[in-house]
Formats: sequence, C-alpha cells, structure tokens
Amino acid sequence: MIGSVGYRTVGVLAAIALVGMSLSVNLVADDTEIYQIYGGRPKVLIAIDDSGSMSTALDGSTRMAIVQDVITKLITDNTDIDFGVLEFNSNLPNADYDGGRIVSRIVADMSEAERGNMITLVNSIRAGGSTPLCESTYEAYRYLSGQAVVYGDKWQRGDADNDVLPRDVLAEDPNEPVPTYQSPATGCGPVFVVILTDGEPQNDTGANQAVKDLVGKTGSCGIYPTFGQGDAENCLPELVEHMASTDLDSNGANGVQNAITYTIGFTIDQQLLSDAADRGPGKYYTADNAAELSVAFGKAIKDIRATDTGLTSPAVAVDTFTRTESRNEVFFAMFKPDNRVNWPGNIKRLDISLDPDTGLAELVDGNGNAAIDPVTGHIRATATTVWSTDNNDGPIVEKGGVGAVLKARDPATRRLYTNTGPGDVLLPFATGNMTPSAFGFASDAELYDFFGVADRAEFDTVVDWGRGYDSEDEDEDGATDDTRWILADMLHSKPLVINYGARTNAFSAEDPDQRIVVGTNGGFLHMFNNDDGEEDWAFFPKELGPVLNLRRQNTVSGHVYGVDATAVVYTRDLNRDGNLIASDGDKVYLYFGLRRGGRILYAMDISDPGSPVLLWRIDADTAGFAELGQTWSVPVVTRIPGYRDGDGVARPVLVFGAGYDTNKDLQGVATADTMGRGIYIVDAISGELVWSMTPATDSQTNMEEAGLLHSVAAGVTVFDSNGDELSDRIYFADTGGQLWRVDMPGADLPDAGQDSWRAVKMAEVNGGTAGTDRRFFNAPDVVRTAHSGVAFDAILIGSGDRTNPNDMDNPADPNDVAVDNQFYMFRDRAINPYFTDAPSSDDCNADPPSVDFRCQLPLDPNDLYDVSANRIQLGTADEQSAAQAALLAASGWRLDLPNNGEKVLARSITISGRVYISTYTPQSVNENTCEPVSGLGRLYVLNLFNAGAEVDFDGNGNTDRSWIIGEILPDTPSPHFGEDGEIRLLLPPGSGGGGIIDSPFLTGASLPGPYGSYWYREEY
Amino acid sequence: MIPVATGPAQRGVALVVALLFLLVVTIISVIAASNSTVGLKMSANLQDSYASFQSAEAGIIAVLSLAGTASDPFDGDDTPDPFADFTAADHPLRGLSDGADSVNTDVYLTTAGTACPRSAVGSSVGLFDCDYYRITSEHEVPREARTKVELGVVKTIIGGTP
Repeated sequence: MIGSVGYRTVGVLAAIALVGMSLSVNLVADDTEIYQIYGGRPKVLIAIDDSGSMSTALDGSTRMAIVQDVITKLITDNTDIDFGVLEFNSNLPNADYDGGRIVSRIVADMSEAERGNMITLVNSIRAGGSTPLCESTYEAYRYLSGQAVVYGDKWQRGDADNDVLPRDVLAEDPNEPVPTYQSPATGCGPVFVVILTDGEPQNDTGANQAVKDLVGKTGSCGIYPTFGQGDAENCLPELVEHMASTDLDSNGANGVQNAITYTIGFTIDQQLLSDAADRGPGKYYTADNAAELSVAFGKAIKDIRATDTGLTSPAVAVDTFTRTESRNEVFFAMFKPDNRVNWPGNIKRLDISLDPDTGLAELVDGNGNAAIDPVTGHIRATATTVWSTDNNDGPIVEKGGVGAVLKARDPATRRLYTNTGPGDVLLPFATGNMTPSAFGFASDAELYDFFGVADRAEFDTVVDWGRGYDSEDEDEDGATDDTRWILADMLHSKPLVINYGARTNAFSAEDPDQRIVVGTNGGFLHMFNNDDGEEDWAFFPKELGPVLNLRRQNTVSGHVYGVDATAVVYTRDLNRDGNLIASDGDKVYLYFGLRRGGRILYAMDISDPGSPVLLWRIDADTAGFAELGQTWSVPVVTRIPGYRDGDGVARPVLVFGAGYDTNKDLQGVATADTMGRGIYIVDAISGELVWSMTPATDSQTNMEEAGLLHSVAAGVTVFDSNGDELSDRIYFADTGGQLWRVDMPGADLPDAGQDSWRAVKMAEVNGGTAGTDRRFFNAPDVVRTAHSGVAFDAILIGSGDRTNPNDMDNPADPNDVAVDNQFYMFRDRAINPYFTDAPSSDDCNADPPSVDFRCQLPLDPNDLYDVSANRIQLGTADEQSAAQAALLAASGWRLDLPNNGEKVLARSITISGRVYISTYTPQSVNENTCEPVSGLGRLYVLNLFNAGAEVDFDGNGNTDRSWIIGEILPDTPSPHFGEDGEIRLLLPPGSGGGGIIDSPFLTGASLPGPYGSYWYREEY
Repeated sequence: MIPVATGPAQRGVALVVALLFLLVVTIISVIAASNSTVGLKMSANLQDSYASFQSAEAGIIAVLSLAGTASDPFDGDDTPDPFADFTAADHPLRGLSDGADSVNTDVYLTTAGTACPRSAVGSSVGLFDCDYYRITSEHEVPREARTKVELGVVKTIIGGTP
C-alpha cells in the first residue's frame, strides 16, 4: 500500500480537485446525455464513530483527525453527492446516552456553503464514549424512514469532551407533536449509509429487540465480540438487510426507497462489519492509515456510483454492434458510462452458430453455449466470450474481451505510434519523439501547456499513462508500475473488421487473417487480431495530445473525445485471389475522422497490417479545407468520372460531408452554421482535394452552392446510376433538415466555371419552429426500384437530433414542445444524371410546363402522402383505394413518429422491399415510481412503397409496424449473410424485445443466386 | 374422191404416248426420289442442328449449375474452362451423345462489383453489389452442325457499404 503518502489523497480523489472546474464549462450537448442519472443525486449518510479510541495517536496525528480530513475531502470533492452525518452519542454506561444522532441532515442539492458548514461540523466532532454500532444505525433507519426520534435526543448535552454537536433539528418535521424525522429518501436518488468505526461494539444492545420486532425475528441475532463486554447479540446485519429490502417510507405511491449499507473498519477488522456489509448489501473495507482510509472511502463512493448507473439504465454497458463481413465472428463494442470522463471500453467476440437441421442461427460464446439472453437481448452473465480468460465475463465491460487481454500485457511490449516524425511519419510513442518542434512549438513550456501538464515529470507520467502504466493506481492494487485498464470507451466508433484472407501460411480461407480496427475516446486507434485478441499496434494522433491528461485526471464533468468516429477501409486485391498480401501489390487503406474529437481526417496505409504508415492528414488548416468542421461524416470510397491516373484508370476518391458545427449544439431552433456546409471529394491515396461543394466561390476545385447553410454531419450516399462503374450521383442531408442531390455527369471533372456538375436541393423538412425543427444526422438510404411500371430512386431518411436525444414534450408546459420527427420516403423520378441546368421558374410555369423533375423541388413534408394512419392497410376498401391513389399522386410518403420525442438516430436499411428503421424514444422521468428511466429503442419494418406493416412480431396474427426492442439507443442493424443464404440482422445487445425479437433477426430475404439477364444465339 | 389413208400412218402414236407417259412417270419418280433424299438430308440436318443447340444450351445450364459449388466459375474472374475440375466420369455433360468434349464453354467476367439491376423489390444502394458475367457455349460436330449461345449472368454479392 501507499503507506508513506501521509495525508495525500490518491488517484481519483486528487484528480477531481485539479481540473474539475476547468472542464465543467466544456459541457456539450451529446448523446452521452442518455447515460446520465435521472433518478436523482445519490445521498450518503456517513455514520462516524466518535468513541474514545478515536483519539488514539496514528501517524503523527489521531484517528479522529485523519477521519475528519478524509471526510472533508470527500464532501468537498464529490459535488454530485449529497451528504449527511450521524455521530455516535456518548453511550456512557448507566446513563441514557444510547445510540447516535443526526448532526447534519442530508441536504438535497447541497450548495458549496452547505458543504462548508458540514465540513466545519465534522471537524468539531470530539472522540469520547462507546461504540453503539447497531443502535446508531437503528437511528439512521428511523431518520431515513421518517419515524419518531428514538436516540437522537439522548445526547450528552453540555459535555465539552464527548457530544459537542447538537442534533440537527432541521432533520425533523416541525409539525409533529413529538420529535419525528422527515425522511430525506422521498425522491428517487439512491440512499447509502457508510458506517465507519475503529472498534468493536460497546453498549450496543439497546436496539436489538426493536430490530427483531421490525424484521419479525423470533430467535437471537448473531453473537459477536464486543469491546470489553464479552460476546453479545448484535442485530446490525438484520437491520441493514431490512433497510435494503423494504420501502423506507412505506409509501408505495412514491416508489420504493431503500438504503444500501457500506462498512469501513478503521484499524480494525471485525466479522460484524463484514456480515453487515454482506447483507447491506454493500461492501466492507478495512484501512489502517490515512491513505488506506481515503482509498476505502474512495472505493465505497466509487462503488456507489457504479450502483447508480446500474439503477438508471440497464443498457448502459453496451453500445454498438459491428458488421461481420458475414464471417461468423461477431464483435461487440461496449463501454461503461460513468460520471467521470475515463469511461472504460471493450470489444468482445461471439460467434454465429447455424444449426443446419433447423436453420436456426444463434450467437454462442467461446464454449459454444448460447450467449444471448432471449428476453433482454444482452449477453448472458454466464457467457464466457471468445478470448476471455475470465469465466463468465458476459456483459461486464471490464472483464474479458480485447480489453482484458490488453490489461494483462506488459505496456512495454505494446507497439504504439504517433505522427511526430517529419511530414507526419509515424514514430514510436515515447517522450523522446515528442519534442516541441514535432508539435510545432518553440519551447517545452508550450508543449507542456498543450498536454495540460505542469512540467517534465508530469509529462513523462502522462506519456507513461498513455502507454498503459497504471501511474494513478486506478486498479487500487497499490502498484503503479503495472498495467491499467487501457481500452477507453468507443462511444461512436464501431469496430471495423478487415479480412486479409489467407495472408500468410498461418491462415486459410476457412480461418482468414481478420483484424479489428477501432478508435477510442482515449485518443488511440487500435488494431487487434482475431486470433487471440492481442493488440497489434495503436496509433495516437499527436493532435489529440490534451486528451491523455484529461483522461488520466479522470475528472467528474464533461466527456473527453478522442478518435470517436468509425473508420472505413479501402481494399484493392490486385489479383483478385481474395487475399490481401502487400507483396502482391494489394492495398489496404484506412480512413478515419475524430467526430467530436476534432476537425481532422486521417488516412493510413495498412497493406501490411504489421507496419502501419500514415498516408496523409487533412485538417481545417489544409488548403481548400477551411469549411471542414468536426469530422463526423464517415467517408465513402468510390470512383468518379473524370478523375483518372496516367493510364486512364479511375483513381479511388473519398467522398464525405464537410462535418459538424457545434453551433448546432445550441438549444432552440436551428440557426445557420459557419463550417461543415458542404461535401468534399479527395484523392484516396494522396489526400489531394479533387472537388468540393461549399458556399465558397467557384474555383477549379470548388462549386459554390449558396443554399448550403447547415453543417453536414452525416455520411453521404453515392452510387453509379448508369452502370459505367463510376459514381455519378451523391445524396446527402444536412443538420438543417435539407436533403441534397449532386450529379456528376459526363466524363470529365468540372473546370473553374463549375457548370458541368449540378446540385439540387431535393427536400427541406425543417419548418423553422420548435415543433418542426427537424435535423438530419444520418446518410440517406437510397433504393433503386420501380413500382406500378414507373422507375424511381427512393430516398429514405428520418429526422432526429443526435446531439439532443432526450428532447421531448414537457406535459407541464405546453410551450415546451419537442420536435415532431418524421421518416420520409422521397421518390426521385429523375433516375438519369442531370445533363442540363435546372429549368427556370418561367419554364416550369410555362404552358405546357417543363417536365423536368427539378420544377417540383425542393419537396416539403406536405408533398408526401401521410401514411401515419396506415389507411392503405387498415382502412375500408374505399379508404384503401383512395389512399393508394393519393400515395401514387404524391412524391412519396412520410410517417409521423408516434411517440413523444421519438427520433431516427441511425440510417435505415432496405432489404428486398422492406425498410428497417431504428428509432430512439426518451422516457420522461417519473418521480413517483423511482424505476430506472431509460429511453426505448424501436425497430420499424415497413413496406418500401406504402409504409405498411410487414412483420407480425408477437405472432398474434396482425402485422406490426414496429416493436420495442429494448432500453437502448439502437444503431443501424448489421446485415449478416448466412452460409444458408439467409439474410439476418444483427441487432445491438439489449434488443431482446422481451423475448419477441430474435437475435440474429431473420429478415426472410436471401442473397439471390446467379441468374440470367440476357440470352442470344450466334448465327453462323 | 380420194380415199384418206389412215391405217399405217397412225401406227406410232401409241409408242409416243407410251414414251411420253414413261417420261412423265420417270420424271415424277426421279423427282420424287430426289425430293425424298433432300427431305431426308434436311431433316437430318435439322436434327443435328437441334441436337447441337440442345447440347450448347446444356453447356450453359451446366455452367450455371456450378454456382455455389467447389468449382464455382463466378469467382470474380474469367474462367476459360469451367469444367476443368471434372473427369470424364463425372463431367456434367457426360450424357451428351457425342461426348462432353463436343461442347466448349467459357465464362467471362464483364464488370465486377457494380450496381445491381433496378428491382421491384429493391434494396439499399451498397447493400448488394453485382458481378456481371457472360457464359458462352459452343457445340460443334465438324461439317455437320455448330451452335454458339451466350447467356448474361448477374451474380449478387455483398455490397461494399451495407
């Protein structure tokens, strides 16, 4: 242990004080909101032993002084917890001073002044008297449950040595004739009791009968050693069990309030405390000095927080899901929300097992056992995931997976890179390579400032911490030279699985070389191998320097973002043998942005997965990229007309939205942004700007589009409409609710006149009021299809503000309305590239009017048939035919999302005429039930043409449009193409839908086999 | 009055008539005989041609049926001899009367990994991609019959951006 540290508090506690305040102002609106605690702030009642033994000298001080210091720090640092203090009464023998009293009630939403007052009180406690553990806790129970005072007024008044502090009469209800407590446990915040003592109980039998009456116990409670009074009965364990299992205020109308008890043995280890904590059901800690006591309290508080997150949102430890390239290995990204910034993350692997006889597919763990709980959709607690050396790691983030493999590794053996070499060359991640000049700084001081550290020593510590050394003793094992939990949360970064095929002789077609690439908010991009889950290497972009110390300090407020965007890969298998082998000339390029982590896009060459090379980096300072916002938009790799290499072969390009402007975090109706307005096309290999469309003036590489007012956070959808293997059309949507189409006709890039490629605003769905402030955060889902003999391209997209997922109508305030989000199917009838400019309004209004589809653009929601009532399926025969006609006449359909605050926060996917949409609906905080409040994820399955229901989820004979899949913020389902040809959807963990939703979810569609398209006979 | 001499002057008519008849009969029979030979030849040719066509078509069907097997010719590349893996005993075309070798099949990759044809039961752009192939099948019995047919094939693959 860190015995020599004296009063220095360690680890997390120290960290809070350092930068807590500087960070709290950086709070941003983000979907991390959904992980916040809705039930209320935790309440902690600290029961302090002030028995005479507490005055014993210890480490040059006294036990009491040490306790006072530690509690002072606790109350100061943990501003998100409301505290109360109970002190033991003097309990002198033969005197009526039994039990304990509340010296400072639990104050809701404690102010800084109230914290100061409490600290003053704590520091005036004097040691003297006995140790009535059970009696005092019984009084705590009376207080928390709002019953009459029993021991509270039995303190030894006027005694300067023992009971200095009076009881806090404000804890009592002034309207009651006899002193009666007012329960502080009326809200939904969890209540905890922490009992601290330095000795065995003494004069502590007074409450035993009351406790036995309370719990209905007839025999004796447990017999425990006392201090100087032999063995005696003590009902403390029975009492705390009752407090944990019974509604404290016996009022069912306001939900169930319980108290959880933790115990700390200071310079003592006793069975009574251990038993009490077991039934508390909290934890029991022992401490022998100041540092240990601080750690013990820290652990108790930390554990209390963990309980919190567990209380509020059962879906917290799990997030996104990955596409599998239809191998049967499935990789789960998960993370654990916390009220501090250094959330842990992990990736676990399960496998899809297909029963060839029944055709049933299920996810199995490393032992081949079913791994998903069919009701909740979560990984079973009994599952042991692949790679895990920990049995039953199941849903626990900090066990198993690649994270545990990494935790078990010596950080010195990790291969870490950072781009501090000349021209961004990757160098080993070490302080020697992190010189001021590598970062463009003139002095060490600037470098330290950038990293948020004070001096060389702290800089070294931070870099060591980044490498993975547990310099803050986060695992509280006393060692600082071991490995910490390295893998940070992957909030929005889905793992990317790259299949290198039989890259070397060690691999085969059946067992190919698969690598998993993921960025985390710890600032690193990691590559893991699928064989044993070991990390191959990790890359720390030097631009993320400040992230390291922020994560290390692990402050309370805000969230720190690093590499928070999903990476994409471009592969070129030159000889088309299915293996990506660098020596064959095969290429594997990786591209990733940072999302909220910054305004930078990186490209890496990982053709040899063992030696990554940074290809290029684009940021807002790069020439031509002034419009680049936060790189939220996941790029698409494609080829476009007019961009060829010297041999006339089309070169790969990257197409992406210009990014997100945090202006859109602001509350209120969306206003125009100043960055991110448009799209970029860059050379995938050189990073050179090929073309862009922004509000800037026309140039060789930019087409001016003045109508672009809002940032483009979503990805783009590109495709080839004429079968020439070059993408000639782009659809994208912006955060202002506008949908755009870009045409790239012809065989050449536009010249500086920018008059050959064209853009048109397809639709505008933001009505500019609170209720219609619709925003797009997803790429459009485009389906090339035909209906009733008319070919058209269906553009499917739903609105929803990703940065404000909890927005909902406030029933108490009719003016406080949420956005009524909708899902749209626009029919774009212009299926061929636009070769001409849009007709003028005169042409559009001429007689006969122009037939150009652009005369009808932009569409607005009223141009679409409202399918919300589903008359096409449910109406009378007349209604059905009228609805069919109206739908055909309209330019598509729109669906009002029916639930309060419901949003589409993921791209839809269409498979064989069925549209799969996932939505998120926040839940209002119900103060009266104290039940966990968590948003609901829904899965819609709709007919592409008429939005009719397609699936009978619950098997009751009627098809359902949607089903609640779980308390999650669902992502786009990942299609899995099974070996039986069936297409299944892999839903995020937590998608059990109460046992209704199978995981994987069978779509009923299958990958068609080869079929003939034309036939002819050659004449001789 | 001079009596008309009739008797001997008319004696050869029957011969001429008979000869004429004979000629006509001969011509008819010759024509008939020749017609039936041509018909025979024609029908034989038609039969050859038909059999050749069927064989060539069998080649197409046989190649198409290799999809999804170990010898899948739709593997993202040209396959000049899709039946290379087969012996004479298990050749899919071994039942042909003039032998499996009488049919020459080729599979060519036309375009790879591009957009799939527009469909009434559409799917998201990028969910699927399509490889386009053409199968040619040629059957020949030297100097008797020859047929060449071609089938365009669309193979759906997992798209790059599902």
